[in-house]
Amino acid sequence: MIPFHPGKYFSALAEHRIDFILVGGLADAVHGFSNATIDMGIVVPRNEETIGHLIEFLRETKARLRIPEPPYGLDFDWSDREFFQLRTVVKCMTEYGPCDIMFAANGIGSYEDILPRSEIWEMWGTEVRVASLEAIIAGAEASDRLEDRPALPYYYKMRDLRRG
Amino acid sequence: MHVKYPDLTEEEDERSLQGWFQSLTPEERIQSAINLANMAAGARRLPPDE
Repeated sequence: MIPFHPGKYFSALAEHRIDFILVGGLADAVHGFSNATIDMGIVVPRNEETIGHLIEFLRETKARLRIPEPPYGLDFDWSDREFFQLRTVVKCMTEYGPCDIMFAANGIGSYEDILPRSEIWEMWGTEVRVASLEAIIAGAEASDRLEDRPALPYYYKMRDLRRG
Repeated sequence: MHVKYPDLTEEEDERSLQGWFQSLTPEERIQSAINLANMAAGARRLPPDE
């Protein structure tokens, strides 16, 4: 096993020419909120080209289905394109660690919905598109999930700090 | 072998993440946390037109 490394994820996604927007705990960390979870959450567009690139990415990173029991991953045949047309989220375990590949994220919608509310950040020399703090707040407010509620006051504080 | 895709509940999802993290060695867990901290510390927002 190798340690979780976001930078290696970003490089692999870029190498496979996958358009994505970083969301979830890692996006929180980029914006300065230290509630980060050790898993990669990305939203991707649902189109044939992206699905083809995803299949290659999942194969090359030795991705397995994520399961709640040891060994926490099961071998899976990723070649079925229809599978990606039917799912909203694909939860997998790659050689770089856990990853949620989403075609839509709770409260903030699809890749196309989030795109105008995203920002480019540079990390380990790779340009990474990240959901903006405003998009994250809107998503947490709209989805109203129990687990997001404690984070909202911190999000508001970060937004206030940024506005000065 | 055909494996049916499991729809994980939030509790199962959390269990899979925690279980995987606990399956790392202590050094790997520490390195994972350092990698994450380095990401947050080194991230640089680019202006929209850069």
